[in-house]
Amino acid sequence: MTITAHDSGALTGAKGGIRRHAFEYALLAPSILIVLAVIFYPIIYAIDISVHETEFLEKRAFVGPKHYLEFFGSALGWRIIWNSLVLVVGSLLLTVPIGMGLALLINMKIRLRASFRTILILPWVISQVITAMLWSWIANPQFGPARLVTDAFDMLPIDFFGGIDTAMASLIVVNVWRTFPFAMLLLLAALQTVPRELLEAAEADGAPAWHRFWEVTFPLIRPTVMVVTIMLSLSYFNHIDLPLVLTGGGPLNETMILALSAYEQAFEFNKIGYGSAISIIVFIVNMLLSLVYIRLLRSERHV
Amino acid sequence: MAKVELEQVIKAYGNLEVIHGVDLQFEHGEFVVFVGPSGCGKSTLLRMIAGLEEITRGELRIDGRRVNEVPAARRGTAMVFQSYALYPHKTVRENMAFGLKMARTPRDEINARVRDAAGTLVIDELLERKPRELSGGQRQRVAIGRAIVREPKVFLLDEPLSNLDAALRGQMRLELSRLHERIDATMIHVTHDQVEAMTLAERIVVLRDGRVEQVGTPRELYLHPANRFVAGFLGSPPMNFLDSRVVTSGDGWIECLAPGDLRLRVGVVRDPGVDGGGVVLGIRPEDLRLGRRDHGVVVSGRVVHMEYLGSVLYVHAECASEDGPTWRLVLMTKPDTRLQAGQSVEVTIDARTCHVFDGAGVSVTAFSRGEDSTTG
Amino acid sequence: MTAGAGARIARVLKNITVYGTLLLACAVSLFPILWGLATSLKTDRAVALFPPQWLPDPATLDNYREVFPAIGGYMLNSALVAFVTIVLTLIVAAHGAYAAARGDFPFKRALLFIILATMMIPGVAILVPLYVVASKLNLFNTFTVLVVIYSTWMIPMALWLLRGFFETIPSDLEDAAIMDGCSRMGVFYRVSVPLVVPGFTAVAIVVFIFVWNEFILALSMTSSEEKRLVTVGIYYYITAYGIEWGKLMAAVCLALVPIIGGFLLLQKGFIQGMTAGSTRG
Repeated sequence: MTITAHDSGALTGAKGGIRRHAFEYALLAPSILIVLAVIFYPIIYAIDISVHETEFLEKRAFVGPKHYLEFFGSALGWRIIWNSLVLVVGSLLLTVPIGMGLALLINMKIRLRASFRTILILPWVISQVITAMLWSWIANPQFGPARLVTDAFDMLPIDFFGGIDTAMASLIVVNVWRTFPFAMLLLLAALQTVPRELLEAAEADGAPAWHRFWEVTFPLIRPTVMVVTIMLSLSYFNHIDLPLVLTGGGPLNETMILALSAYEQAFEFNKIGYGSAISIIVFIVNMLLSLVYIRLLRSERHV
Repeated sequence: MAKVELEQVIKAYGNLEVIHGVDLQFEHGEFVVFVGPSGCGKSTLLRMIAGLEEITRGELRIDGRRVNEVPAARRGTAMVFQSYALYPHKTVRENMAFGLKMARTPRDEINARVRDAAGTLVIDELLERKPRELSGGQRQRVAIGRAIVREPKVFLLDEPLSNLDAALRGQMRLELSRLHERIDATMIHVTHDQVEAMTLAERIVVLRDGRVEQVGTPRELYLHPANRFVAGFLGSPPMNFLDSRVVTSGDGWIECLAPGDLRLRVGVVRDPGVDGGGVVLGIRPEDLRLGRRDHGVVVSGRVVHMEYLGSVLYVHAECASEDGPTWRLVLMTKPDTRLQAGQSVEVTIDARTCHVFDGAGVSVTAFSRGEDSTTG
Repeated sequence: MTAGAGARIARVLKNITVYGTLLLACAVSLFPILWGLATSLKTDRAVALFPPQWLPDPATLDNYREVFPAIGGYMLNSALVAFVTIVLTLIVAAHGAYAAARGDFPFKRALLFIILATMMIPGVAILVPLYVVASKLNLFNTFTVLVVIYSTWMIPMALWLLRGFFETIPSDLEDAAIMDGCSRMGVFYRVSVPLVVPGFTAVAIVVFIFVWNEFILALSMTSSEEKRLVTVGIYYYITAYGIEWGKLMAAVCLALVPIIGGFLLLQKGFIQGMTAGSTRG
């Protein structure tokens, strides 16, 4: 028997009836009530709206899955899903390797390490709206520095965010610029937990650098890579600000993604029911990604 | 005046009982020490007296008044914690004044009491500092100061010296004794350190597994342990125990056969059990004599280890009977005794110094030295 | 000797690659900001030059003078909403976090799960109902609705973060406060809360960045000019008068001052906080 007095004091309390713990419930109640009212109730409300016909802010006839069928039955619907996928995967494919590369560089014994880090984090603290403004100006077809690039190749000026062929790619570039610091920071933190002795042992064995990375470092930081990937996916999938300001989903829905479409249907076309249906699709994708995330965290803990 | 009484006090977490019906009474102004191995419930018991831990069943009375339901701050108790538990965001003065402020004591009186306590503990210079700017010993004094400004009737100390280094601990032990003489309070001190218990206590309560094993003065407990646990717990190096067998018994005595065919005839207060039943003989290291002496039986052995402490020498000897297993004896002798490891020695065991414990570990020793044992 | 020289050349090459890459990355990070800053200091004529003028000549603060009255107001709005949101978030989350850290009570896991699970629900999914409810409650176009929703979005994160801080407080300290005569609420306010001030700072930083940068809710929940937060204010520059890039960049630079300034001053807190709060879409 090894019960010590500190295991459960007056404050940490023993298990007992609900009434004995009125103190804790009272402390927790405001948090619970506010999230129930402002997050849970609205999500249920959103589901409810999505299965009704709507007229401005009013719910009309129950229509069942009509809005969902309409979305999945339209070419545009699938186009939007495809666009979301392209944006998420395209941004990830660039952001994660770039973030990893920079994290590896900063993790080396270099001078001015802190300064490099500070500067490299800057894009991440800037809001999406302002990021969009700064890049629109850079890519301005008339006066933007981007025209120097097209001129150098003897091409006609390109409207990067307005052109059918370039809008999505340009959006991805800005996305990468905005989020690589996040990947870099998390991966850097993970790299710093890799024991130096392991790497030194591998170096003493004569393993070349790339080999040391894949055989020693990467397996150790893989959980973080997965976490970064999921968090970035959620961020890319859910954001509205950046595409709304940069491209507005255009040209011709070329950059229209699910989250933006949900917003546009509801707030610009006043199709609240249809917009809600799309936002519920967004919500379901979030749930799925979050479940993967939770499972990852759990399995990581068991390792 | 603060008489503290515990009557059939029980602590249970759900179905798990950790304190099993404790009865204790302390007189006003006594210095009591709860001692026992970790997990014995001594801290829990102290926290129940303090009011930090609910009393599941039974009654706690201070000065005859039931205080089970009285909030901690109104029981007239004050506590010094092992970790000192000084408020890091408050100065020493604020730390000491906080309890009084909570009790809405007039400001002048708070100031006066803090000043007095600070003077007593020689921490006047530290009043405006924060706890993190203090040394361990200074924090300890502040923690004591915080308790004494409240002028408690009962002063509770939860292993207050265990975070100090050895030298400081010795000094603080003396100061605690002196403090006890000066302040008018019952002190209850919890420790797992038997030296602290022996030196500080007027009365010691030995606890094990949530039960009281024995209560008594340090002298009573050392000389007349009520059971094998207390006998082994107090004293360092601990008492030697020899598994023995009763061969004959008479009126007030038994004859035991100890390992190595030793026959010892010892006085008992009652027959420890059936013929041939097992008993345990206990002999303190200082009661064993090196060499062949009058009174007692002689056992031979080989020196395996020595501990030289300057004032005394402890000799670990390994004894073997012709065909039986070997066993060890630790004995205390004069420090200038010349011995070498591996050397053969003879040890005399005087049956009059032997303790006898029955099959359940309860002492049945009849003492001829006049003092009565007190069992709890 | 030759082996040594070879090693030295390899090292120099490696250094060139490492520092070259980092410098390039820094240039890419900084360029949009610096280009915006340069533009904001140019005259209208200089803005409309190609090839672009890299350094403003002549440099002028005219753009700033012109946009400041409006942007200054939006910034004040953002600061006000951020401040009240921080206070509300801290009050609600600190109490919950304390129960989560100290208590052991029936349904604790389930209740905490309810709170944390909300981090899985993206803002965009509930924008419509929030808008409808806000309209029906006559809260549309008020700071109140922004504060309530922002706080709710931040509370799970804040609760989680503060819980960790409360858990580091030794229970002896709280027992000492009980001995000193505090009620359980008293222990919380007088001893525990003062000890988690660093946690409060961390939460305050996250909430501030979030509110300052938030756009879509502020856009959907407000309609009048005097209720615009800074991101919304800047957004309307585009649509309002075609785009006057010099003025827009001046507005952008003003809006960046608190964020970049705060970041440079409190870098550690920023990084900690932004990592914690980054999942809210």
